[in-house]
Amino acid sequence: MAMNDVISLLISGLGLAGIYFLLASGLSLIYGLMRVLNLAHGAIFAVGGFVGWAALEYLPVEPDWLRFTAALVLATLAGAMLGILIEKGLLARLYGRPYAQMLLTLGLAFAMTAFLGGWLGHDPLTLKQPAWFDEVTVIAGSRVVNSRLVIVGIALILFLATVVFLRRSKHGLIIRAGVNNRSMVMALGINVSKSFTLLFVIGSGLAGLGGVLAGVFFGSVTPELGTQQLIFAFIVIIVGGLGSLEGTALAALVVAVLQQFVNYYGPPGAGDLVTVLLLAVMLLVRPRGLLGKVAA
Amino acid sequence: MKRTAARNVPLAIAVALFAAVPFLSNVSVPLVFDGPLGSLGTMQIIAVGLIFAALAMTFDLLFGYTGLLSFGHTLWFALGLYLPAVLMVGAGAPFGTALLLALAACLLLSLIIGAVALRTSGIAFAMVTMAFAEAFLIFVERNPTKMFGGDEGITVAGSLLPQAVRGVAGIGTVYWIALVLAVTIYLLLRQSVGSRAGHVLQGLKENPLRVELLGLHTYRFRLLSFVLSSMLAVLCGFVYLLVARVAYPGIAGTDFALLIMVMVVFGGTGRLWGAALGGFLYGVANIRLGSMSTAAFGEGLPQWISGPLQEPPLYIGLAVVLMMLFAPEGLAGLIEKASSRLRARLAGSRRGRNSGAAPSGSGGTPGGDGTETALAASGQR
Amino acid sequence: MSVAEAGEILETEDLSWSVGGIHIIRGVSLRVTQGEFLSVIGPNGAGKTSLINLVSGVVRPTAGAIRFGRTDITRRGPADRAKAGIARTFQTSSVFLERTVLENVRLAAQARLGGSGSLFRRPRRNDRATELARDALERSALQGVAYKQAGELTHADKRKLELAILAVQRPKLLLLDEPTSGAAAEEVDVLIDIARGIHREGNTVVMVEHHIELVASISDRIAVMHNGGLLMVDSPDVVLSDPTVQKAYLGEGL
Ligand SMILES: Nc1ncnc2c1ncn2[C@@H]1O[C@H](COP(=O)(O)OP(=O)(O)O)[C@@H](O)[C@H]1O
Ligand SMILES: [Mg+2]
Repeated sequence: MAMNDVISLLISGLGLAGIYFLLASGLSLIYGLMRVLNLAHGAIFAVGGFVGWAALEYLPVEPDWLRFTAALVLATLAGAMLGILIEKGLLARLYGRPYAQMLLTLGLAFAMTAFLGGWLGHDPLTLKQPAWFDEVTVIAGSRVVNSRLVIVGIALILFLATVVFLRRSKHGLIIRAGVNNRSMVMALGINVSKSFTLLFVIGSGLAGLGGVLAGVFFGSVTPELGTQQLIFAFIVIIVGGLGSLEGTALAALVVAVLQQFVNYYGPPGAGDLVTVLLLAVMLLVRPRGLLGKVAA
Repeated sequence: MKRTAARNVPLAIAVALFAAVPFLSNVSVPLVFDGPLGSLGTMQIIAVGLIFAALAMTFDLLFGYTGLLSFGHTLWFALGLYLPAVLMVGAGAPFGTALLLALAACLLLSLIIGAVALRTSGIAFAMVTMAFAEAFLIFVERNPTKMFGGDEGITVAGSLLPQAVRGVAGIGTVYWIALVLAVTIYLLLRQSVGSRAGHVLQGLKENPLRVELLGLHTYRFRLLSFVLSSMLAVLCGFVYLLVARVAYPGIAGTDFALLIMVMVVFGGTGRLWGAALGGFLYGVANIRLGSMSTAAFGEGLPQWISGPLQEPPLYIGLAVVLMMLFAPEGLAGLIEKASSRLRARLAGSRRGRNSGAAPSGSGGTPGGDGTETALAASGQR
Repeated sequence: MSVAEAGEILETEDLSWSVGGIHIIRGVSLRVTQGEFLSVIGPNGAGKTSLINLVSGVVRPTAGAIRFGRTDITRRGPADRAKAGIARTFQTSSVFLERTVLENVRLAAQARLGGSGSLFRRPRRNDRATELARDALERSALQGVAYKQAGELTHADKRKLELAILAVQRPKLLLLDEPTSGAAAEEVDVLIDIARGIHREGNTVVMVEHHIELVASISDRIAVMHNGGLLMVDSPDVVLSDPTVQKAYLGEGL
């Protein structure tokens, strides 16, 4: 096993981890705070990917890195808007009935995916990435595709920003307290509904942005992008511990890097299977996850 | 005893209707079915509906009665197709042997997977079951062993199946098998739900800690429910293999697992007949919508409207959204509400005729066991 | 001194429980004698419910041990403890709200009699579990609402239902967490009488209760909790005249 491979696989793994984190963190926090499992989260992720694709394809902005930045911003906004619409328009009507809420988001996931597929087709659409993304940088003697570095960098910045938000801002503190001890925060009469909307917007925005990064990572987007990645996001959430942002980040790293290495060195699909195995082992050894706050 | 008999009337009517289908070669149901009811094409579609009805009921045991939300129930259905197919096509096992081996393997597997997954509960359980189902899909699609057919699936040649279910003529037999499957699973589940263990399961759904404090190991009861519903889903897979004659990835993985949940929720959770209704409607509608999707739907409209209108999942998704917003108890809830209202009105007018008193607006269900009104009431929140 | 000699049914040894670094129960060592009626008092948040949770197995201690009779049950789950003879009620009633009152009690009787795992046998109108359940409902004056959904009961009737469930469990040790909370004043005596009735059948009772006069009149001993620790355990007279106990209460503004 060549050292070159190891480093480039590691960086690929980090990139994938970033994508998992962006998808899983919102899901996990929203569930931790409000017990809503948003199954439309994957569809929002896919919408983000398509918005990014469209922006890169049609936006008359030069140079290309600026166009890419615009694509990220637009996808984030699209995700955030969908988040507001879903939360305020639909979920709020079913407050206190988590199953009905979850099923509603499941219906949305079906409808949104079908909408994307019917409009733009089910075949992969290739993203027009900035030229620099395809070039390679030599790191410690091994060749790494630049787009991987971009993904890792963006995911890292967003992770740190989310941590700061949760630790420093008023709403962040309410969200953290709510995840840790929901009934207590409610009993204290703190209005969590505003924080929840905010969390929903942020989580959906992150998912939208994550969709673009996933498009960059895989080279293309499909309507099923979200559903496919949602499964790994779920694994990440459980392995990391429901409701723990740091746990989600840590588990994203473990799952993604492991997956990359085994997929590369093992038979086809082995990496994906190993992540499921990891989940099973985790449940046997430590059911509440690496840094779990909510007892699973 | 009278109540049991009364309970069996709708069942008897349903069975009689389905049993009549093969003989109705002159009766056609326009819009719903292309050919007459007794035609082989229509019987095949109805058979699929019956199998999905049975499958939906097995999920209802888990979700509606035990309160266990699985996002991977289809794993068992898929294994019911794949294992016999692999054993017959790949290993040359005879039909009966293949089914028996598959059953034994699934029993072992459901015990192991159940034992692991049930270490969690609630949403974590959903995610874990989903991961297992998805793992199977990945395994099948990537096909590392070259035995599981990849994207194409495994086609089971007619010659591998028993004479009676082979070829076009076999469709008639398969129809009866599907009907027997649906009725058997309904009766088995009705018995299970009403048994002592079934009462524990229903208690579990509502208040697991209370059950545990009564001295019952909730883990074991959950496992019982999991294994039972999984094994019955395997049986559904067996029969579906006879209809489809191919084990294909479309019925494995999360998407189809979630569809099973949609069927049950749409029909109405916690009532076997509701789940069956949802499963049946989905089974029939899916085939029909699928064949209509090429039709000129939304012609003349821009592509971003006309394209999505040709996607069946769009309708399913929107239907679920509307159902959750306006009738979260599903079709069964709607039907129960309507029938209790009707009965109240009938009772009221009878009372009115007899005593001259104005009909009361209480809407109670005389002679009901109370659960019905309670459910209807909870649907009105 | 061995447990058997002293006729002790329950012994907690240096029992501690903390959540997220907060010490909720701090080194509680309590001995309960066979057949005794022990009441636990203490201001809100003292840890009374947590103590019951620990003994019934709802939560696991972070340190210390629990013995029931001769056996160490520290590592046992709630179902095993229930089978061994520990039963409890909750401060806020915990019953099957969507099932009938009779079914609530019948399920408890079925659980004790065995055969709960059977997928074949159905509950019958005249089987033993149902008979036991009916008896218990009668003794709790609930026979009139046997076919009502438990969720439709008044607070007081829910409390009675919990006691009826407890009665058919035939436990050796009863843990009652504020059995009168939520009940109207005139119902308090009825509930306490039911609890006393169960005690008189030779059971051991540990009861958390706020009605101090009641507690004083029916308890053999009173345990006082404060800030997660055990302040003292003694006869009602001694406890109620103890200055530290008064301070513990007054300190909390009661
Ligand atoms: N699961 C828990 N997590 C965190 N804190 C808890 C938990 N259960 C109880 N507490 C805290 O422990 C303290 C004791 O609670 P409790 O045992 O309910 O007191 P009591 O029953 O005497 O009023 C309270 O401050 C309460 O907030
Ligand atoms: Mg308390």
